[in-house]
Amino acid sequence: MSLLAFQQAMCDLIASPDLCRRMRQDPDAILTQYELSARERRRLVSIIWQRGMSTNCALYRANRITPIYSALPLTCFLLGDLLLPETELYWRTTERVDLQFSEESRRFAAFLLARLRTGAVTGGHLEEVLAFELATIDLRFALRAGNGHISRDSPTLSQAALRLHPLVRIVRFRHDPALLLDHITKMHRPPYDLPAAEFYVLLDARGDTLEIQRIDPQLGNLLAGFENHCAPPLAPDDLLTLVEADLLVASKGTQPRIKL
Amino acid sequence: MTTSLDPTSTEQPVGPPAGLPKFGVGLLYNPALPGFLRAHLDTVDFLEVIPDTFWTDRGPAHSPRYCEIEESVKVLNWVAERRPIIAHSIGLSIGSADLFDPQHIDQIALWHRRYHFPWHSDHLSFVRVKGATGYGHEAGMAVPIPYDDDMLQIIAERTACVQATVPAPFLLENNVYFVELPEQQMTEAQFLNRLAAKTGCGLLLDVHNVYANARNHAFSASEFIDQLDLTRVVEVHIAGGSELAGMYTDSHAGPCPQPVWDLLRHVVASATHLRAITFEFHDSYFRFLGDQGILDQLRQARDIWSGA
Repeated sequence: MSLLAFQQAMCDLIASPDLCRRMRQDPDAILTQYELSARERRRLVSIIWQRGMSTNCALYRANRITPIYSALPLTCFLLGDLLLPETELYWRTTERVDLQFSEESRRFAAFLLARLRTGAVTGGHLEEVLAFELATIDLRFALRAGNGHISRDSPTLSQAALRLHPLVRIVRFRHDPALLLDHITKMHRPPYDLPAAEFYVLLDARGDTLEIQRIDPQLGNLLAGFENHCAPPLAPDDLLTLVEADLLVASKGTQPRIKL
Repeated sequence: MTTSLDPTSTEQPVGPPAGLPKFGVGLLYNPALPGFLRAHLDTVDFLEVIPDTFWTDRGPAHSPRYCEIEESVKVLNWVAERRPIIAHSIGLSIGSADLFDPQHIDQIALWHRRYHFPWHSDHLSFVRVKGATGYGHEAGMAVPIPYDDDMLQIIAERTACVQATVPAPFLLENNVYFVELPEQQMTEAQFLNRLAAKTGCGLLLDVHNVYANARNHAFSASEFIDQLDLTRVVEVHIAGGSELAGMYTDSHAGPCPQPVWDLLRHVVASATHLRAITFEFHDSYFRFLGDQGILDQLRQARDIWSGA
């Protein structure tokens, strides 16, 4: 129990420069929270004054922000001065520490999305760029086996039994994605007066490399409907076209019912 | 050579891992390397990989728990057909109090059976603490362990557990540390020597970590190395580092500093069971190093290896 408490105290201190400062002022107030042996207590009191504790705290923050920055570099760029306060708020409000790129970046994205939707964070292009980067992460970590491909000779399928190909994502932009992404990838802040309209981008990981292309808004809206399980009813011929293009595949566990 | 084995111990020391293939000089894989490997595979004798970075661990409550990252595995498979692969994990957290994850060891053992890694290594530190849920959460860095008798016992038991499950010799790597815990019962060298003698594990000697510790805590790196039982050293890591908040860190920032080459030469001359030298760099420094920079590091390491 004692060693566990010692390690927990070390981790808490490494994670919080503020806790380190408070412990320097009043070690008893902090250490009474942990069941420590006298030697462990002396060790913690010693390290808190060592120069290397600042390095530990800095490394902790660098290691925690790395998965977020690596997976969401454009979002981080757009956050600008908000990046540190928002990540620190995220760390304070998220109990689980996870340095795995996919899980940590998805959790931070969900946190940021909630902050955007409540208006706690505002940014002209943040939401669409975040959606784009999230889709990229999804595809990077997507499994390629068993994607429910339907061959040309597949017997019968209903629309309800179809879904967007799992290696395809649709992202809706409210500004021209080519102009917007061109600015951000060059680390330039996009101008506020970028023309606003509805644009759709298709991210396609079915081949060896990720292909990104702008698609017709009507098709984009339709495929986004399949992605979100709210597509309007389609004529059988239109469904067949999408199936033949391998954009729609059989949903998991579905059974064919109606002939296309 | 002086070693620091406990003279009062009545336990019979277990010998070092034997019969391992002698590889030479290789690289630790990072995501910036696929292009380099395709162009210059002939310059590396082996590739070392961190298996934990080739899968996503969704936690013990999920089934399947481990989801492999296919684009990374594809590169690994390509190399595995052409060069030996060595496994160096980061997720055992062998020093965590009240937390050791048998599923993680099983997953590593699974990969050993698939790729036939000649040995397995991890770090002498802890990276996870037990959370309220019973499953560990990340400490955010590799935190050093105290070099005490009770910790030695814990690590020895867990080493035995890894050795019983993973079908390859097991090595532990010396850690870098930025704070010094007072009142430790052993020095780091004594701890490493006793652990190796007690369990038969090998040592992965990170020469750059020794250099960083010596520089930060003002001791002689070569004297530290002389205190180690170098017959236990199977693999050596070399790397570069950088300053952060007043200390020199193991950031793997580009080329090795000259003192690391000097220490490597010293180790290679004395470590009779040395099988591999691995150059590590962080992928964000690839632009700084470039292909030529990596080739230069490999060439310098090979010159020292060949001169042994």
